[in-house]
Amino acid sequence: MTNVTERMAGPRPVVDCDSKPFWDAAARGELLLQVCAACQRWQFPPRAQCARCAADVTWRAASGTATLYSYTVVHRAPAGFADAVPYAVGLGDLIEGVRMVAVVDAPLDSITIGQALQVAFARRGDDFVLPVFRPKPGRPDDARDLTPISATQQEPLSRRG
Amino acid sequence: MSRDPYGLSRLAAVVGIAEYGCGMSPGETVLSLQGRAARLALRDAGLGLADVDGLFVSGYPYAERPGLLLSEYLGIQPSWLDSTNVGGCGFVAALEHAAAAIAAGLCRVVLISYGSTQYSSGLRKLGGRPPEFSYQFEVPHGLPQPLGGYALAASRHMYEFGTTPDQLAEVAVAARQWAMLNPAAPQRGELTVDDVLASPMIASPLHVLDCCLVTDGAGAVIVTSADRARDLAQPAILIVGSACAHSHETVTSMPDMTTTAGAVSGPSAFSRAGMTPRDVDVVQTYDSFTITTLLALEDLGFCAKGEGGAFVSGGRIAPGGELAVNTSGGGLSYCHPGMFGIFLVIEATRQLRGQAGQRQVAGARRAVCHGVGGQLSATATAILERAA
Repeated sequence: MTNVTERMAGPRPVVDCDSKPFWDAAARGELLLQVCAACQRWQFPPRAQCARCAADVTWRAASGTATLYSYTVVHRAPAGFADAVPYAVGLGDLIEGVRMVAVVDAPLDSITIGQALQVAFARRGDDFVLPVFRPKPGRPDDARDLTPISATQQEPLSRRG
Repeated sequence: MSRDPYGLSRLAAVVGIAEYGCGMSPGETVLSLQGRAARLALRDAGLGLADVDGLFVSGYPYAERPGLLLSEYLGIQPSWLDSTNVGGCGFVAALEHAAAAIAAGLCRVVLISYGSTQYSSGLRKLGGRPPEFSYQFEVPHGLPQPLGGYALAASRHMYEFGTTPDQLAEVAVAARQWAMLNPAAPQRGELTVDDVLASPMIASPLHVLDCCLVTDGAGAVIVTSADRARDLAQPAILIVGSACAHSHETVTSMPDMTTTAGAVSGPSAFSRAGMTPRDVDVVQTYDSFTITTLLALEDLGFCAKGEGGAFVSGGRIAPGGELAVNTSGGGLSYCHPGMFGIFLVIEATRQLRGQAGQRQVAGARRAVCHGVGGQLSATATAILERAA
Protein backbone atom coordinates (compact mmCIF):
# COMPACT_ATOMS: atom_id res chain seq x y z
CA MET A 1 0.00 0.00 0.00
CA THR A 2 1.07 3.52 -0.73
CA ASN A 3 -1.16 5.62 1.54
CA VAL A 4 -2.16 7.63 -1.54
CA THR A 5 -5.65 8.22 -0.16
CA GLU A 6 -4.17 10.19 2.76
CA ARG A 7 -3.40 12.96 0.30
CA MET A 8 -7.03 13.06 -0.93
CA ALA A 9 -9.83 15.20 0.51
CA GLY A 10 -12.32 15.60 -2.29
CA PRO A 11 -16.11 15.51 -2.39
CA ARG A 12 -17.83 13.01 -0.10
CA PRO A 13 -20.77 10.96 -1.28
CA VAL A 14 -24.24 12.37 -0.86
CA VAL A 15 -25.46 9.33 1.07
CA ASP A 16 -29.06 8.34 0.31
CA CYS A 17 -31.55 5.60 1.14
CA ASP A 18 -30.05 3.29 -1.49
CA SER A 19 -26.40 3.81 -0.56
CA LYS A 20 -26.46 4.17 3.24
CA PRO A 21 -25.85 0.47 4.03
CA PHE A 22 -22.86 0.48 1.64
CA TRP A 23 -21.19 3.53 3.18
CA ASP A 24 -22.05 2.53 6.76
CA ALA A 25 -20.39 -0.83 6.13
CA ALA A 26 -17.42 0.84 4.46
CA ALA A 27 -16.87 2.91 7.60
CA ARG A 28 -16.63 -0.40 9.51
CA GLY A 29 -14.24 -1.83 6.91
CA GLU A 30 -16.80 -4.18 5.35
CA LEU A 31 -17.83 -4.58 1.73
CA LEU A 32 -21.60 -4.98 1.60
CA LEU A 33 -23.34 -5.36 -1.75
CA GLN A 34 -26.90 -6.02 -2.85
CA VAL A 35 -28.19 -9.40 -4.01
CA CYS A 36 -31.56 -9.87 -5.69
CA ALA A 37 -33.93 -11.99 -3.61
CA ALA A 38 -35.46 -13.45 -6.77
CA CYS A 39 -32.79 -13.83 -9.46
CA GLN A 40 -29.85 -13.98 -7.00
CA ARG A 41 -27.75 -11.59 -9.05
CA TRP A 42 -25.46 -9.14 -7.27
CA GLN A 43 -25.80 -5.52 -8.27
CA PHE A 44 -23.85 -2.31 -7.90
CA PRO A 45 -24.49 0.60 -7.54
CA PRO A 46 -27.25 -0.13 -5.00
CA ARG A 47 -30.87 0.54 -5.87
CA ALA A 48 -34.31 0.19 -4.31
CA GLN A 49 -34.89 -2.94 -6.40
CA CYS A 50 -33.16 -5.33 -8.78
CA ALA A 51 -32.26 -3.59 -12.04
CA ARG A 52 -32.79 -6.83 -13.92
CA CYS A 53 -36.07 -8.22 -12.57
CA ALA A 54 -37.37 -5.43 -10.28
CA ALA A 55 -37.61 -7.78 -7.28
CA ASP A 56 -36.53 -6.93 -3.73
CA VAL A 57 -32.85 -6.87 -2.87
CA THR A 58 -30.96 -7.83 0.27
CA TRP A 59 -27.49 -6.86 1.50
CA ARG A 60 -24.73 -9.46 1.76
CA ALA A 61 -21.00 -9.39 2.52
CA ALA A 62 -18.99 -9.60 -0.69
CA SER A 63 -15.61 -11.24 -1.17
CA GLY A 64 -13.79 -8.13 -2.35
CA THR A 65 -11.82 -10.31 -4.76
CA ALA A 66 -11.52 -8.67 -8.16
CA THR A 67 -9.57 -8.36 -11.37
CA LEU A 68 -8.49 -5.02 -12.77
CA TYR A 69 -10.63 -4.27 -15.84
CA SER A 70 -9.07 -0.91 -16.66
CA TYR A 71 -7.26 1.96 -14.95
CA THR A 72 -6.02 5.47 -15.52
CA VAL A 73 -3.23 7.39 -13.85
CA VAL A 74 -4.57 10.83 -13.04
CA HIS A 75 -2.07 13.66 -13.44
CA ARG A 76 -4.46 16.62 -13.44
CA ALA A 77 -6.93 16.02 -10.66
CA PRO A 78 -10.35 17.30 -9.72
CA ALA A 79 -10.58 19.67 -6.74
CA GLY A 80 -9.54 17.95 -3.52
CA PHE A 81 -7.28 15.39 -5.19
CA ALA A 82 -4.40 17.57 -6.46
CA ASP A 83 -2.05 16.64 -3.58
CA ALA A 84 -2.32 12.96 -4.50
CA VAL A 85 -1.22 13.14 -8.17
CA PRO A 86 -0.18 11.03 -9.87
CA TYR A 87 -2.59 8.39 -8.59
CA ALA A 88 -4.34 5.43 -10.23
CA VAL A 89 -8.11 4.95 -10.36
CA GLY A 90 -9.39 1.67 -11.70
CA LEU A 91 -12.44 -0.37 -12.55
CA GLY A 92 -12.38 -3.72 -10.79
CA ASP A 93 -14.54 -6.69 -11.74
CA LEU A 94 -15.58 -8.40 -8.52
CA ILE A 95 -16.06 -12.16 -8.62
CA GLU A 96 -19.66 -11.49 -7.65
CA GLY A 97 -20.13 -10.11 -11.16
CA VAL A 98 -20.25 -6.38 -10.51
CA ARG A 99 -17.81 -3.63 -11.42
CA MET A 100 -16.61 -0.87 -9.08
CA VAL A 101 -14.48 2.27 -9.34
CA ALA A 102 -11.76 2.70 -6.70
CA VAL A 103 -8.24 3.98 -6.26
CA VAL A 104 -5.66 1.32 -7.11
CA ASP A 105 -3.40 1.54 -4.08
CA ALA A 106 -0.19 0.14 -5.52
CA PRO A 107 3.08 1.43 -6.99
CA LEU A 108 2.04 2.95 -10.34
CA ASP A 109 4.59 1.07 -12.42
CA SER A 110 3.39 -2.25 -11.01
CA ILE A 111 -0.23 -1.91 -12.11
CA THR A 112 -1.44 -4.08 -15.00
CA ILE A 113 -4.90 -4.71 -16.40
CA GLY A 114 -5.99 -8.24 -15.52
CA GLN A 115 -4.12 -8.33 -12.21
CA ALA A 116 -5.80 -9.80 -9.14
CA LEU A 117 -7.06 -7.27 -6.61
CA GLN A 118 -8.50 -7.30 -3.14
CA VAL A 119 -10.84 -4.58 -1.87
CA ALA A 120 -9.52 -2.92 1.28
CA PHE A 121 -10.66 0.17 3.10
CA ALA A 122 -8.54 3.27 3.42
CA ARG A 123 -8.89 6.63 5.12
CA ARG A 124 -8.66 9.79 3.06
CA GLY A 125 -6.87 12.84 4.47
CA ASP A 126 -10.24 14.21 5.53
CA ASP A 127 -10.93 11.03 7.54
CA PHE A 128 -13.49 9.73 5.07
CA VAL A 129 -13.21 5.94 4.64
CA LEU A 130 -13.63 4.46 1.18
CA PRO A 131 -12.91 1.17 -0.58
CA VAL A 132 -9.62 0.86 -2.49
CA PHE A 133 -8.13 -1.88 -4.65
CA ARG A 134 -4.89 -3.44 -3.46
CA PRO A 135 -2.90 -6.12 -5.29
CA LYS A 136 -4.01 -9.56 -4.18
CA PRO A 137 -1.10 -11.66 -2.97
CA GLY A 138 -0.22 -14.66 -5.06
CA ARG A 139 0.45 -15.15 -8.71
CA PRO A 140 -1.44 -12.49 -10.67
CA ASP A 141 -2.39 -14.97 -13.38
CA ASP A 142 -3.85 -17.49 -10.94
CA ALA A 143 -7.50 -17.17 -11.84
CA ARG A 144 -8.80 -20.17 -9.91
CA ASP A 145 -10.49 -18.08 -7.24
CA LEU A 146 -11.58 -15.45 -9.75
CA THR A 147 -14.29 -17.51 -11.40
CA PRO A 148 -17.45 -15.41 -11.27
CA ILE A 149 -20.02 -16.57 -8.74
CA SER A 150 -22.76 -15.55 -11.12
CA ALA A 151 -22.63 -14.57 -14.75
CA THR A 152 -21.83 -10.92 -15.08
CA GLN A 153 -24.82 -8.66 -15.30
CA GLN A 154 -22.89 -6.53 -17.71
CA GLU A 155 -23.63 -8.25 -20.98
CA PRO A 156 -22.48 -6.95 -24.33
CA LEU A 157 -25.02 -4.66 -25.94
CA SER A 158 -25.48 -6.99 -28.85
CA ARG A 159 -26.91 -9.65 -26.57
CA ARG A 160 -29.57 -7.39 -25.15
CA GLY A 161 -33.23 -7.15 -26.11
CA MET B 1 -37.14 -10.45 -36.49
CA SER B 2 -39.95 -8.13 -37.53
CA ARG B 3 -39.33 -5.38 -40.03
CA ASP B 4 -38.07 -2.07 -38.60
CA PRO B 5 -41.16 0.18 -38.74
CA TYR B 6 -39.04 3.34 -39.10
CA GLY B 7 -41.05 5.76 -41.16
CA LEU B 8 -39.10 9.00 -41.25
CA SER B 9 -36.83 8.54 -44.24
CA ARG B 10 -36.68 11.62 -46.49
CA LEU B 11 -39.68 13.30 -44.81
CA ALA B 12 -37.72 16.17 -43.28
CA ALA B 13 -34.68 18.22 -44.20
CA VAL B 14 -32.09 20.54 -42.75
CA VAL B 15 -32.68 23.90 -44.42
CA GLY B 16 -30.79 26.40 -42.29
CA ILE B 17 -27.54 26.36 -40.31
CA ALA B 18 -25.38 28.83 -38.38
CA GLU B 19 -22.70 29.02 -35.74
CA TYR B 20 -21.98 32.05 -33.63
CA GLY B 21 -19.23 33.00 -31.21
CA CYS B 22 -17.28 29.74 -31.40
CA GLY B 23 -14.06 30.36 -29.50
CA MET B 24 -14.09 33.13 -26.93
CA SER B 25 -17.23 35.22 -26.54
CA PRO B 26 -16.77 37.32 -23.41
CA GLY B 27 -19.78 39.43 -22.53
CA GLU B 28 -22.27 37.10 -24.22
CA THR B 29 -24.82 34.99 -22.38
CA VAL B 30 -26.16 31.53 -23.16
CA LEU B 31 -29.29 33.24 -24.50
CA SER B 32 -27.67 36.05 -26.47
CA LEU B 33 -25.45 33.55 -28.28
CA GLN B 34 -28.43 31.38 -29.14
CA GLY B 35 -30.45 34.35 -30.33
CA ARG B 36 -27.70 35.45 -32.70
CA ALA B 37 -27.18 31.92 -34.07
CA ALA B 38 -30.94 31.39 -34.52
CA ARG B 39 -31.31 34.62 -36.47
CA LEU B 40 -28.42 33.68 -38.78
CA ALA B 41 -29.74 30.16 -39.36
CA LEU B 42 -33.24 31.43 -40.18
CA ARG B 43 -31.77 33.99 -42.59
CA ASP B 44 -29.74 31.17 -44.17
CA ALA B 45 -32.98 29.20 -44.69
CA GLY B 46 -34.94 32.17 -45.97
CA LEU B 47 -37.31 31.95 -43.00
CA GLY B 48 -38.11 34.16 -40.03
CA LEU B 49 -38.76 33.68 -36.33
CA ALA B 50 -42.49 33.87 -37.02
CA ASP B 51 -42.18 30.61 -38.97
CA VAL B 52 -40.74 28.68 -36.00
CA ASP B 53 -43.39 26.53 -34.32
CA GLY B 54 -41.07 23.88 -32.90
CA LEU B 55 -38.03 24.26 -30.63
CA PHE B 56 -35.39 21.80 -29.46
CA VAL B 57 -32.92 23.18 -26.93
CA SER B 58 -30.50 21.32 -24.72
CA GLY B 59 -27.36 22.14 -22.81
CA TYR B 60 -25.82 22.29 -19.39
CA PRO B 61 -28.74 23.04 -17.11
CA TYR B 62 -28.64 26.82 -17.10
CA ALA B 63 -32.39 26.87 -16.56
CA GLU B 64 -35.00 24.52 -15.18
CA ARG B 65 -37.11 25.10 -18.26
CA PRO B 66 -34.73 26.03 -21.09
CA GLY B 67 -37.46 25.67 -23.72
CA LEU B 68 -39.64 28.26 -22.04
CA LEU B 69 -36.75 30.58 -21.22
CA LEU B 70 -35.34 30.56 -24.76
CA SER B 71 -38.83 30.91 -26.29
CA GLU B 72 -39.49 33.95 -24.11
CA TYR B 73 -36.08 35.41 -25.05
CA LEU B 74 -36.74 34.94 -28.76
CA GLY B 75 -40.34 36.14 -28.47
CA ILE B 76 -41.89 32.94 -29.84
CA GLN B 77 -44.42 30.43 -28.50
CA PRO B 78 -43.66 27.22 -30.38
CA SER B 79 -46.33 24.58 -29.85
CA TRP B 80 -43.73 21.79 -29.88
CA LEU B 81 -40.94 21.93 -27.30
CA ASP B 82 -38.25 19.33 -26.66
CA SER B 83 -35.42 19.63 -24.13
CA THR B 84 -34.18 16.05 -24.19
CA ASN B 85 -30.75 15.92 -22.58
CA VAL B 86 -28.64 12.91 -23.53
CA GLY B 87 -25.38 14.87 -23.53
CA GLY B 88 -23.58 16.18 -26.57
CA CYS B 89 -25.25 13.77 -28.99
CA GLY B 90 -28.63 15.33 -28.22
CA PHE B 91 -28.53 17.61 -31.23
CA VAL B 92 -28.17 14.65 -33.59
CA ALA B 93 -31.06 12.97 -31.76
CA ALA B 94 -32.92 16.26 -32.29
CA LEU B 95 -32.94 15.64 -36.06
CA GLU B 96 -34.91 12.44 -35.44
CA HIS B 97 -37.22 14.08 -32.90
CA ALA B 98 -37.85 17.03 -35.21
CA ALA B 99 -38.49 14.80 -38.22
CA ALA B 100 -40.99 12.76 -36.18
CA ALA B 101 -42.78 15.87 -34.91
CA ILE B 102 -43.00 17.33 -38.41
CA ALA B 103 -44.16 14.02 -39.91
CA ALA B 104 -46.84 13.76 -37.22
CA GLY B 105 -48.09 17.24 -37.98
CA LEU B 106 -47.16 18.66 -34.58
CA CYS B 107 -45.16 21.50 -36.10
CA ARG B 108 -43.76 22.71 -39.41
CA VAL B 109 -40.46 24.48 -38.72
CA VAL B 110 -38.15 23.37 -35.91
CA LEU B 111 -35.29 25.44 -34.52
CA ILE B 112 -32.61 23.26 -32.92
CA SER B 113 -30.58 25.50 -30.65
CA TYR B 114 -27.48 25.30 -28.49
CA GLY B 115 -25.37 27.89 -26.73
CA SER B 116 -22.65 27.86 -24.10
CA THR B 117 -20.36 30.32 -22.35
CA GLN B 118 -18.38 27.60 -20.58
CA TYR B 119 -15.03 29.14 -21.50
CA SER B 120 -15.77 32.75 -20.55
CA SER B 121 -17.63 31.80 -17.39
CA GLY B 122 -14.96 29.28 -16.31
CA LEU B 123 -17.59 26.60 -15.81
CA ARG B 124 -15.63 23.61 -17.07
CA LYS B 125 -14.08 21.68 -14.16
CA LEU B 126 -12.50 18.23 -13.98
CA GLY B 127 -14.80 17.34 -11.09
CA GLY B 128 -17.73 17.76 -13.36
CA ARG B 129 -20.56 16.08 -11.49
CA PRO B 130 -21.96 16.31 -7.96
CA PRO B 131 -21.16 13.19 -5.86
CA GLU B 132 -24.76 12.04 -5.70
CA PHE B 133 -26.79 9.09 -6.99
CA SER B 134 -24.55 6.79 -9.08
CA TYR B 135 -21.83 9.45 -9.16
CA GLN B 136 -21.25 9.03 -5.41
CA PHE B 137 -19.42 5.81 -6.33
CA GLU B 138 -17.02 7.55 -8.73
CA VAL B 139 -16.44 11.18 -7.75
CA PRO B 140 -15.15 10.52 -4.16
CA HIS B 141 -12.42 8.28 -5.62
CA GLY B 142 -10.93 11.14 -7.65
CA LEU B 143 -12.06 9.90 -11.07
CA PRO B 144 -12.20 13.03 -13.28
CA GLN B 145 -15.62 13.50 -14.91
CA PRO B 146 -16.20 12.91 -17.74
CA LEU B 147 -12.53 12.66 -18.81
CA GLY B 148 -11.79 9.69 -16.52
CA GLY B 149 -14.34 7.48 -18.23
CA TYR B 150 -12.78 8.12 -21.63
CA ALA B 151 -9.31 7.44 -20.21
CA LEU B 152 -10.54 4.10 -18.82
CA ALA B 153 -12.02 3.20 -22.21
CA ALA B 154 -8.78 4.11 -23.99
CA SER B 155 -6.73 2.11 -21.50
CA ARG B 156 -8.93 -0.96 -21.98
CA HIS B 157 -8.85 -0.57 -25.78
CA MET B 158 -5.05 -0.52 -25.66
CA TYR B 159 -5.05 -3.65 -23.48
CA GLU B 160 -7.51 -5.63 -25.61
CA PHE B 161 -6.41 -4.61 -29.08
CA GLY B 162 -2.86 -3.30 -28.78
CA THR B 163 -3.93 0.22 -29.71
CA THR B 164 -1.09 2.68 -29.11
CA PRO B 165 -0.85 6.29 -27.87
CA ASP B 166 0.56 7.16 -31.31
CA GLN B 167 -2.60 5.86 -32.97
CA LEU B 168 -4.80 7.91 -30.64
CA ALA B 169 -2.63 10.94 -31.43
CA GLU B 170 -3.28 10.41 -35.16
CA VAL B 171 -6.90 11.43 -34.55
CA ALA B 172 -5.78 14.77 -33.11
CA VAL B 173 -3.28 15.30 -35.93
CA ALA B 174 -5.92 14.65 -38.61
CA ALA B 175 -8.36 17.00 -36.88
CA ARG B 176 -5.72 19.74 -36.85
CA GLN B 177 -5.02 19.26 -40.54
CA TRP B 178 -8.71 19.75 -41.29
CA ALA B 179 -8.80 22.77 -38.96
CA MET B 180 -5.93 24.31 -40.90
CA LEU B 181 -8.35 24.46 -43.85
CA ASN B 182 -11.12 26.06 -41.76
CA PRO B 183 -10.71 29.83 -41.42
CA ALA B 184 -13.08 29.80 -38.41
CA ALA B 185 -10.89 27.41 -36.42
CA PRO B 186 -8.67 28.96 -33.76
CA GLN B 187 -6.22 26.04 -33.65
CA ARG B 188 -4.45 26.25 -36.98
CA GLY B 189 -0.77 25.56 -36.25
CA GLU B 190 0.94 22.40 -37.43
CA LEU B 191 0.58 19.44 -35.08
CA THR B 192 2.50 16.16 -35.09
CA VAL B 193 2.05 12.85 -33.29
CA ASP B 194 5.16 13.72 -31.27
CA ASP B 195 3.57 17.04 -30.22
CA VAL B 196 0.53 15.18 -28.88
CA LEU B 197 2.66 12.62 -27.03
CA ALA B 198 4.85 15.38 -25.58
CA SER B 199 1.90 17.38 -24.29
CA PRO B 200 1.12 17.08 -20.56
CA MET B 201 -0.63 13.89 -19.46
CA ILE B 202 -4.07 14.58 -17.99
CA ALA B 203 -5.28 11.06 -17.20
CA SER B 204 -3.33 8.27 -18.89
CA PRO B 205 -3.34 7.46 -21.73
CA LEU B 206 -4.92 10.82 -22.61
CA HIS B 207 -2.65 13.85 -23.00
CA VAL B 208 -3.97 17.38 -23.10
CA LEU B 209 -3.85 17.26 -26.93
CA ASP B 210 -5.97 14.08 -26.88
CA CYS B 211 -8.72 16.25 -25.34
CA CYS B 212 -11.15 18.60 -27.03
CA LEU B 213 -10.93 22.37 -26.75
CA VAL B 214 -12.86 24.30 -24.13
CA THR B 215 -14.61 27.17 -25.90
CA ASP B 216 -17.77 29.26 -25.94
CA GLY B 217 -20.14 29.06 -28.86
CA ALA B 218 -23.62 28.57 -30.24
CA GLY B 219 -25.21 26.72 -33.10
CA ALA B 220 -28.62 26.69 -34.73
CA VAL B 221 -30.17 24.27 -37.21
CA ILE B 222 -33.53 24.69 -38.95
CA VAL B 223 -35.52 21.60 -39.93
CA THR B 224 -38.72 21.51 -41.96
CA SER B 225 -40.62 19.06 -44.15
CA ALA B 226 -38.96 17.80 -47.31
CA ASP B 227 -41.85 19.33 -49.31
CA ARG B 228 -41.40 22.79 -47.91
CA ALA B 229 -37.61 22.51 -48.12
CA ARG B 230 -37.81 22.51 -51.94
CA ASP B 231 -38.97 26.13 -51.96
CA LEU B 232 -36.41 27.53 -49.53
CA ALA B 233 -33.17 29.40 -50.02
CA GLN B 234 -30.67 26.54 -49.72
CA PRO B 235 -30.37 23.04 -51.17
CA ALA B 236 -32.41 20.68 -48.98
CA ILE B 237 -30.37 18.21 -46.94
CA LEU B 238 -32.65 15.25 -46.29
CA ILE B 239 -32.69 13.17 -43.11
CA VAL B 240 -32.70 9.66 -44.59
CA GLY B 241 -31.96 7.51 -41.54
CA SER B 242 -31.52 8.00 -37.82
CA ALA B 243 -31.27 6.09 -34.57
CA CYS B 244 -30.52 6.72 -30.90
CA ALA B 245 -29.19 4.40 -28.20
CA HIS B 246 -27.76 4.49 -24.71
CA SER B 247 -26.23 2.00 -22.33
CA HIS B 248 -25.49 3.71 -19.00
CA GLU B 249 -24.90 7.02 -17.25
CA THR B 250 -21.76 6.35 -15.18
CA VAL B 251 -18.82 4.28 -16.44
CA THR B 252 -19.26 1.84 -13.56
CA SER B 253 -22.29 0.53 -15.45
CA MET B 254 -20.85 0.62 -18.98
CA PRO B 255 -21.25 -2.95 -20.24
CA ASP B 256 -18.07 -3.11 -22.32
CA MET B 257 -15.69 -0.18 -22.32
CA THR B 258 -14.54 -0.82 -25.88
CA THR B 259 -18.02 -0.89 -27.43
CA THR B 260 -20.42 2.04 -27.19
CA ALA B 261 -24.13 2.33 -27.86
CA GLY B 262 -22.99 3.46 -31.31
CA ALA B 263 -22.79 -0.23 -32.18
CA VAL B 264 -26.59 -0.11 -31.92
CA SER B 265 -27.48 3.35 -33.24
CA GLY B 266 -24.92 3.29 -36.07
CA PRO B 267 -25.97 0.08 -37.85
CA SER B 268 -29.63 0.91 -37.17
CA ALA B 269 -29.37 4.36 -38.76
CA PHE B 270 -27.55 2.95 -41.80
CA SER B 271 -30.10 0.18 -42.14
CA ARG B 272 -33.00 2.63 -41.92
CA ALA B 273 -31.36 4.72 -44.62
CA GLY B 274 -30.90 1.61 -46.77
CA MET B 275 -27.16 2.27 -46.76
CA THR B 276 -23.86 1.02 -45.43
CA PRO B 277 -20.82 3.00 -44.25
CA ARG B 278 -19.43 2.67 -47.78
CA ASP B 279 -22.25 4.85 -49.08
CA VAL B 280 -21.28 8.03 -47.23
CA ASP B 281 -18.77 10.59 -48.47
CA VAL B 282 -18.25 12.50 -45.23
CA VAL B 283 -18.19 11.49 -41.56
CA GLN B 284 -18.89 13.99 -38.79
CA THR B 285 -18.38 12.21 -35.51
CA TYR B 286 -17.94 13.21 -31.91
CA ASP B 287 -14.34 13.80 -30.84
CA SER B 288 -14.50 14.91 -27.23
CA PHE B 289 -11.32 12.85 -26.89
CA THR B 290 -9.24 11.01 -29.48
CA ILE B 291 -10.57 7.67 -28.21
CA THR B 292 -14.14 8.87 -28.86
CA THR B 293 -13.52 9.07 -32.60
CA LEU B 294 -11.69 5.75 -32.70
CA LEU B 295 -14.54 3.93 -30.92
CA ALA B 296 -17.13 5.65 -33.09
CA LEU B 297 -15.48 4.62 -36.37
CA GLU B 298 -15.43 1.01 -35.16
CA ASP B 299 -18.99 1.04 -33.83
CA LEU B 300 -20.35 2.69 -36.99
CA GLY B 301 -18.76 -0.10 -39.01
CA PHE B 302 -16.05 1.78 -40.89
CA CYS B 303 -13.63 -0.81 -39.56
CA ALA B 304 -13.83 -3.91 -37.37
CA LYS B 305 -13.79 -3.68 -33.58
CA GLY B 306 -10.22 -3.31 -32.42
CA GLU B 307 -8.94 -2.06 -35.77
CA GLY B 308 -9.62 1.62 -35.12
CA GLY B 309 -6.00 2.37 -34.28
CA ALA B 310 -4.71 1.15 -37.61
CA PHE B 311 -7.70 2.67 -39.41
CA VAL B 312 -6.95 6.25 -38.28
CA SER B 313 -3.19 5.99 -38.84
CA GLY B 314 -1.09 7.28 -41.68
CA GLY B 315 -3.33 10.24 -42.43
CA ARG B 316 -6.24 8.05 -43.53
CA ILE B 317 -8.86 10.35 -41.93
CA ALA B 318 -6.94 13.56 -42.66
CA PRO B 319 -7.39 15.79 -45.74
CA GLY B 320 -6.49 13.73 -48.80
CA GLY B 321 -7.00 10.49 -46.88
CA GLU B 322 -9.37 7.64 -47.62
CA LEU B 323 -12.21 8.85 -45.40
CA ALA B 324 -13.06 12.49 -44.65
CA VAL B 325 -13.69 12.64 -40.89
CA ASN B 326 -14.55 15.81 -38.95
CA THR B 327 -13.77 18.24 -41.73
CA SER B 328 -14.29 21.34 -39.55
CA GLY B 329 -11.41 20.32 -37.30
CA GLY B 330 -13.91 18.93 -34.83
CA GLY B 331 -14.01 19.45 -31.11
CA LEU B 332 -10.29 18.75 -30.99
CA SER B 333 -9.23 21.69 -33.16
CA TYR B 334 -12.25 23.79 -34.13
CA CYS B 335 -14.50 24.42 -31.12
CA HIS B 336 -16.08 22.57 -28.22
CA PRO B 337 -18.49 24.56 -26.06
CA GLY B 338 -19.29 21.49 -23.92
CA MET B 339 -21.68 19.80 -26.32
CA PHE B 340 -20.51 19.41 -29.88
CA GLY B 341 -23.43 17.60 -31.51
CA ILE B 342 -25.01 20.58 -33.27
CA PHE B 343 -21.71 21.39 -34.98
CA LEU B 344 -21.63 17.89 -36.48
CA VAL B 345 -24.94 18.62 -38.20
CA ILE B 346 -23.84 22.08 -39.31
CA GLU B 347 -20.59 20.85 -40.87
CA ALA B 348 -22.27 17.87 -42.54
CA THR B 349 -24.87 20.19 -44.06
CA ARG B 350 -22.19 22.61 -45.23
CA GLN B 351 -20.30 19.77 -46.92
CA LEU B 352 -23.43 18.39 -48.62
CA ARG B 353 -24.34 21.85 -49.89
CA GLY B 354 -20.84 22.22 -51.31
CA GLN B 355 -20.16 25.29 -49.14
CA ALA B 356 -17.16 24.07 -47.18
CA GLY B 357 -14.55 26.18 -48.97
CA GLN B 358 -10.99 24.86 -48.95
CA ARG B 359 -11.98 21.77 -46.99
CA GLN B 360 -14.84 20.81 -49.32
CA VAL B 361 -14.99 17.09 -50.03
CA ALA B 362 -15.51 16.98 -53.79
CA GLY B 363 -18.95 15.77 -54.79
CA ALA B 364 -20.05 14.98 -51.22
CA ARG B 365 -23.65 13.80 -51.41
CA ARG B 366 -24.16 11.74 -48.26
CA ALA B 367 -22.89 12.22 -44.71
CA VAL B 368 -23.19 10.49 -41.38
CA CYS B 369 -23.44 12.53 -38.18
CA HIS B 370 -22.65 10.57 -35.04
CA GLY B 371 -22.86 12.06 -31.57
CA VAL B 372 -21.67 10.62 -28.27
CA GLY B 373 -23.00 11.94 -24.98
CA GLY B 374 -22.09 11.67 -21.30
CA GLN B 375 -19.32 9.21 -20.50
CA LEU B 376 -19.65 7.21 -23.73
CA SER B 377 -23.20 6.81 -22.41
CA ALA B 378 -25.53 7.74 -25.27
CA THR B 379 -25.22 7.95 -29.03
CA ALA B 380 -27.27 9.35 -31.87
CA THR B 381 -26.61 8.69 -35.54
CA ALA B 382 -28.18 10.42 -38.53
CA ILE B 383 -27.59 9.88 -42.24
CA LEU B 384 -28.03 13.00 -44.36
CA GLU B 385 -28.29 13.28 -48.15
CA ARG B 386 -28.40 16.18 -50.58
CA ALA B 387 -31.75 16.17 -52.34
CA ALA B 388 -31.42 15.14 -55.97
